[in-house]
Amino acid sequence: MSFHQITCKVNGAEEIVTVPSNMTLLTMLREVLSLTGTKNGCTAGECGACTVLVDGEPVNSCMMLAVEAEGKDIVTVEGLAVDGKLDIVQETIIEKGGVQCGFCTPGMLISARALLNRNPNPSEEDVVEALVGNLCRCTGYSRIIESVQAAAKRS
Amino acid sequence: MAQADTKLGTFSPVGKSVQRLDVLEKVTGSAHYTDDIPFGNALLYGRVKRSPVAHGIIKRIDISKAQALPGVKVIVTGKDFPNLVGLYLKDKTIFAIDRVRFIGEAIAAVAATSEEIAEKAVDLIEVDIEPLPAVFDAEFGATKDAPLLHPDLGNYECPNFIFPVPGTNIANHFKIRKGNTEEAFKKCTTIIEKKFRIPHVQHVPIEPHIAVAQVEPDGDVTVWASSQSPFAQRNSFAKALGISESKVRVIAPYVGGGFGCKAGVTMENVAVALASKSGGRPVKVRLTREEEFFTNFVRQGLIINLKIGCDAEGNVLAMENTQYWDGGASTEYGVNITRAGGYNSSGPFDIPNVKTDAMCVYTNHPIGGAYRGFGMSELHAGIIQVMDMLAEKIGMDKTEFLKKNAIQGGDFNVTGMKMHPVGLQECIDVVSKEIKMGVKEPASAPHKKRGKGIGIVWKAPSMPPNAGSSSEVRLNEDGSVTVSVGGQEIGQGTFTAMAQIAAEALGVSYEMVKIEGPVDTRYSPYEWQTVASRLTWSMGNAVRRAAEDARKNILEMVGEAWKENPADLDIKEGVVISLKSENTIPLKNMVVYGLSREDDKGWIGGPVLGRGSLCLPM
Repeated sequence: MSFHQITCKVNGAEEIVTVPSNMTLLTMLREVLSLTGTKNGCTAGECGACTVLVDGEPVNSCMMLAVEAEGKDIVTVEGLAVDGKLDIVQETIIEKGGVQCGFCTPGMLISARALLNRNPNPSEEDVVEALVGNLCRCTGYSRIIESVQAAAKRS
Repeated sequence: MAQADTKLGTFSPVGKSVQRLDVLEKVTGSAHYTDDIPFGNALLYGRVKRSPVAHGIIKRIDISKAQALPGVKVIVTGKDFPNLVGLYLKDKTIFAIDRVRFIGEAIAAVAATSEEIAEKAVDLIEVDIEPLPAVFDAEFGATKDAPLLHPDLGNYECPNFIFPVPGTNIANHFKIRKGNTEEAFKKCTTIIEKKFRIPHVQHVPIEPHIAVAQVEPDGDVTVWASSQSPFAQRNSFAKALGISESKVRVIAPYVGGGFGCKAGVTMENVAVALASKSGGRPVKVRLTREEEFFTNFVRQGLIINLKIGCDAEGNVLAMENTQYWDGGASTEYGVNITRAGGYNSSGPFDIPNVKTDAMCVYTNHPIGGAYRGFGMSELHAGIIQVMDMLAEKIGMDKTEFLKKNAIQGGDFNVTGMKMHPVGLQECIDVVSKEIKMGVKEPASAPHKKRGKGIGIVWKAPSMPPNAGSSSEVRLNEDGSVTVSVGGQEIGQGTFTAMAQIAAEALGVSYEMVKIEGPVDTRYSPYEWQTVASRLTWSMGNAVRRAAEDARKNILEMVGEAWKENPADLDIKEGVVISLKSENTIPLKNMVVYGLSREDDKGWIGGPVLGRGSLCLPM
């Protein structure tokens, strides 16, 4: 087991952390940086609860090694709101009732943010496809999809 | 029960769509689930050694190599915890002791300084198991030819509404004998016999099971768990360790989905077992997604044999209903679902002759537990289809057939109880109209087909009659209201509903109400379990009573200070007003410190509390 010092940006702030070579980015965020908003639902890249932005791309952080984060710009759910003002995707998911147990919510919001960054005017199909990697067991998805469409309209 | 005095005005919170109490935390990532709570460097991680075979005798367990691994602090096996535990039937131990009964059953557990070391240690534990013939079919499992999985069934403790059959694999046999089905079938012109196999499913909450346990030197236990039932869990841990309930504390943060699988106790006992030997260090056990699928709770599979007969006019005269519930290796929870399958067995139909045998059968499958619907989906799937088939066979409109046989107010159900007004026929009419039953409509896409059908179901969820809820209400210096409950926010929105109820009953705005969390059995008032869609009604009534109690105390206090009759006083949007005089006082001015008497000759009042509970007498 070797340890590596890496430098990366997390939610706008530069972080210098020492991580073992086999630690995932998810574990680094949750246990080294105490950013527990990103969740672990499967450690297998299947459920999307661990989704974060890495250089703007939505990534399953449980499938990425922490050492791969060297030099990268990472955004987690904690970085969506700025100075206490919610991101539009957070506002609309509240309004549309797209949050129940909340465990899939951080991953959903990140995927939604990534979609709107690359496609400000998505069709319903675009939204569905963007969220296809985020599983939800509570809401049935409809209200989450509506909330992303509403966020797009209002951006 | 006093009638609610609902002051339905423009500000009334009940009946309005409000912003959920928990939603800001959840969208910002600040909501704490069990794995988010920091425990510091003393935290140990637990992993479990599991059986690779479905049924076998444990010949040898060797933990020596595992014990020698640096970082390993605790290893426990079955002989360390021999007590039988279970919610309705005490048929399981925390770890397998002399034999294993399903693939994935816990045989031993390790607590170490990291999850990685614990996992390595688990691999170093050597287990020899002599395989035995296994049971994988519940119908076969109920026969005399099936291997006996629980020879000790006759000695297992259970309440008087569970009927095990010792010497067999039948953990519960629930019977209904209404009328005379043999004679009634002779009068039927049309009879359909069908067997349905309903498969197991797993709840797949996005948050897997997790528990952290800590045992103090004096034996006091604290457990943090993703739990639907902190109080029931407290009782179970106490029984498992052989200690008194008051020595166990369960703290339950937000739950990332339960659907029934977090209602009982399963892997949490492993954390408690490890913590009891870790010298006070907390131990965290979290299931992998793979373990979540088959080592914990699943929805029981069902094999159901139905024989339903009707006359030429479409009156259903007789039903024979034989249910083989695939209970799995332990039926401590599953026996009650079988019971529900039994007394709901006619479906919501008025059938004069019913013969039901609902059996919960031990198999070497994963453990069946509570799953949303508590047996109702599985039970009705076949019944509804057979009703459709009967209608088709006699050439009767299917909706008319349903309506003709749907149970009504005044009918007697299969357990001999008279139905309250039901409104089922009206529901069928409304639904039939809304979906334009009988009108062919195109599918939404060329590769799809569209069909229409109506099914009716009912549910009696098998709760004991003394499943109680309770609540406490505290008023704070700023006029805000703190409501304590024992039920859990698992995503269903219960905290929000309780805040609406408390606000309405007290006379304050919804925004002034906070629900105290996380639920903590040391401080929170008792709640039986967060299951069965019961909280809005049961806990809601407890909250309403507690808020009304606080309201009564306030009005009595203020009434005495103002020398007015409390019946002439009201609370509107956080202000006590008089309907007779000009007197007003904001709640925040008097709910902690009291208020001066009107004639300035002294003081009255003090901190305001309200309490309420619901446990209906029979």
